[in-house]
Amino acid sequence: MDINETLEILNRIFRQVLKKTEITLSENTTAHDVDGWNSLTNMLLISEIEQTFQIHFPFREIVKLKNVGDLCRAIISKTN
Amino acid sequence: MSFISPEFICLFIFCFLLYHLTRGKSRKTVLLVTSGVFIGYFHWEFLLIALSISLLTYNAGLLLEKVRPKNKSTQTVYWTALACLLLCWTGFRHAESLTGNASLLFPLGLSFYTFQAIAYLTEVYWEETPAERNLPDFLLYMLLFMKFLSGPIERPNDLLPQIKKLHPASYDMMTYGLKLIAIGLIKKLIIADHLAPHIDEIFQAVHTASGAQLIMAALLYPIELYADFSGYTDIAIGCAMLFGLRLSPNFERPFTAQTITDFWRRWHISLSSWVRDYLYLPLTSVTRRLGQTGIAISLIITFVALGIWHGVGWNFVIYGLIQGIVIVWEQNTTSIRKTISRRIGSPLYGLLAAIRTYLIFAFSLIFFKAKNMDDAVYFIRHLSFQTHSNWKEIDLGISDHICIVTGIALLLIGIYEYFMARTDLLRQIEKQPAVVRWSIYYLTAFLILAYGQFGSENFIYLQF
Amino acid sequence: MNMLTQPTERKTFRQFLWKTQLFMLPFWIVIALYLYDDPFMVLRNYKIYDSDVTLNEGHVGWQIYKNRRDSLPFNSFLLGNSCTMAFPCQEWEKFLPQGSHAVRLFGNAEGMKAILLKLQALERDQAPIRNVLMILNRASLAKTYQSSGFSHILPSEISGENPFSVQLEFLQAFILPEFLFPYLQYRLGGQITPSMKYMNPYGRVRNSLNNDAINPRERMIEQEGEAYWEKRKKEFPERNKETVFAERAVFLPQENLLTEIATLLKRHHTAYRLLISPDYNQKQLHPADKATLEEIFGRENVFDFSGINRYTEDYHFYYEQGHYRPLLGIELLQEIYRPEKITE
Repeated sequence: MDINETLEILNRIFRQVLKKTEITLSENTTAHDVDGWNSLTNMLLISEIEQTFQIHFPFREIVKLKNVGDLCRAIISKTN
Repeated sequence: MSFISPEFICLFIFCFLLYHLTRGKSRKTVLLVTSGVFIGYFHWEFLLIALSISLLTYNAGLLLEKVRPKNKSTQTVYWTALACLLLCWTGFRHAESLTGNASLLFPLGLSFYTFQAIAYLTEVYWEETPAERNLPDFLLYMLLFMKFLSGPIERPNDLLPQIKKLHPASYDMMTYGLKLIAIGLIKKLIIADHLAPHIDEIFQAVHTASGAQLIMAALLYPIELYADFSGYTDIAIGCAMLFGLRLSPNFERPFTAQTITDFWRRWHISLSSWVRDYLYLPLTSVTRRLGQTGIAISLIITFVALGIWHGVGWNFVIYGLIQGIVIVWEQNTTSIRKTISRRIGSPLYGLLAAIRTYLIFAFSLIFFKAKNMDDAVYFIRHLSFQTHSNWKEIDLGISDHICIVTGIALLLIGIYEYFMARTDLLRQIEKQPAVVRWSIYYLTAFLILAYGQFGSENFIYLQF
Repeated sequence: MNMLTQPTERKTFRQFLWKTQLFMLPFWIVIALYLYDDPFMVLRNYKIYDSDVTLNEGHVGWQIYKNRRDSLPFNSFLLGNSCTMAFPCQEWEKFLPQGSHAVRLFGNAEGMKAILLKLQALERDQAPIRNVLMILNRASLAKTYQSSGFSHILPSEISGENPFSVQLEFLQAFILPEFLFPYLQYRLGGQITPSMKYMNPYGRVRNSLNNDAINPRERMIEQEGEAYWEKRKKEFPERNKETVFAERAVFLPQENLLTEIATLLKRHHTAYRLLISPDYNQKQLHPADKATLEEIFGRENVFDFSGINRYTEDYHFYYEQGHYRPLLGIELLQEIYRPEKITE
């Protein structure tokens, strides 16, 4: 799985969890750029991602994720 | 030592002059010694406690880095240090009830620097920041006098790099600092301190106040608290700017918030973001399998903890609980609010939502301000429009003269904050011709000198 | 790099200092004038407290008390609101045991809080509190807080507040334009005009030995005779002949203050009397309030002259609605110190 495929899936998850159809993520997107992505919804997103990809993030790893690119790379390294 | 005491003014001027007359490392010494005097001036024990906690944190940070490469459990070090800090804090909080000795004082600033220590250790533990090796730098991070008493609670990544590259402020930064101090003094001396004695009287003797007076006191208290605490913060940030240091903002026009959720992103930001990062996020991580329920549980635990941070007693638990429950409620009713907003138009909705948020916060503050749970319950049960004699008594005994002065100051601060959201008014002043500029300065100085209430040196958040 | 920035740093610092001092200059001048003139007579000690400026009564009273503390200490204290002016200390002393020395420690619109603070200060100062006479009205009973502002603030020795912040209150009053500008005008012209707020156009208004009042209206009455009241019909409205009760004034907070005062007085075995002033408007103290007072201070020590009675009926006793003359004060003293009252 490459980064674009991952982004595609992430887009779907974000739109579904945040209930907003207009979200399009890029590698450089951060929580600031997405309306509704905040401390209240962050874990809902992570949890959904974990279930979709069948992976698990330890908390300290989540803290280190600074943007969507980081997230994609973390997912890829765990799924491959 | 309080910011508006003559002792502090002397110490501050002395420190400011010395800081600029020395160079290099001696500047750190100047700041460190001043902070020591500031903390230990009335009770040397306070300095001793602050120093011990700082040293404990400093060594724990170094130890964390030392054991990490050897793959030993950093967890043990981290949790032991954390337990020590929390135990110490809880111990002092409950000292009076534990020992029955009412003369035991809660060390000044303990809640604030304990939280700062926890922030530092957690960041080191998460490998977000390296442990600080230079002891004087670390002590300054913990004890810097401008933020020692009531915050802002600084993060290591914000403050430590500035301390390392300590240098005097530019001319603009210094004058900006002075302006912020003036704003803080207006908030504190003209608004908060004129309201305080009258609101205190109602809350001290809830049983003798009429229902209408209770309503009035409850409605005014958020304003007093905001003017007091944000006034303090402005003075702290302004003082730091005179030394070229930038402290974190603590308030972002909280009363414009349309929801309590939003309110807590604007009110006491350094504390609310602290509990978010170091308590709420770890909690949601643990409960993430539960989805929305997990978030709700985490929110409620977090806000109850935030309540307890302010003091011992069920009233503080309830204060936090109200915030938590309202935020959970708001999480699940976003669509309803959107529908209403569409129906009645967003300007009207914005106003009504801001009023609603204010009222909820004012209500929760009854628990925060009341002496105990019984008083709070009595207070709420007796809120009514009934008066003892006539409607005049809702002025809570504030004289008409003070009502006008405070009212005008409040209006000015309101306008100031409204425009600050769009453009930096303080910078705009600098672009005006000298006559206009100096007239504004003289008017402000005159307002503070003539109408400030200089009697009290106390700030509300000193007790926490 | 470091070497390069040093001179600019110094320059910035000097510029900053220079500008702030320039800004402060007018304030320094005003402060210097204040320190030199001491208009409120609060910075230095004086033997005579006469001034063209309206003084703070709390401060003046306390200073007069202190002036005599080491020679002929006072042991009798006249407390209460401005109506204490009707009770000259020498007259009161006539009703007191031999060797009593009385001083008037009053306050305008005095409340019970201030009275308690003054008694506590006397206690701290180890003054012999032998006799106390409190001149009150409904408003003084109701008032539980101490007013702020330079005319009402109590000296730090009485209130326990920070002396510096009390002094700051006076300096602040001096800077207020409504005071400063008339004061500068007076300072330059040497004249007091009636429009000058906070100035005293009457010259001597007190006896600096015991703080007895010298009311300028007394002289006017002497000169004008009956015409004094004739000319001032507006100040003396007709009263309707029905008994009207004032609203209750004493609730729990007031009761607590009164109890504290009574406890202190009883601790010192003080001979005390509590007098409710004869009110020109003839509103009578609420019976419940009177009952509370009698319960706390003892029925034999509480004297209520409010309402319709032979004292309030005669307008010749009054300067204006709010204040009555020593003529009436002396009659009241005779009434409350009647021998049979004491042995009762």
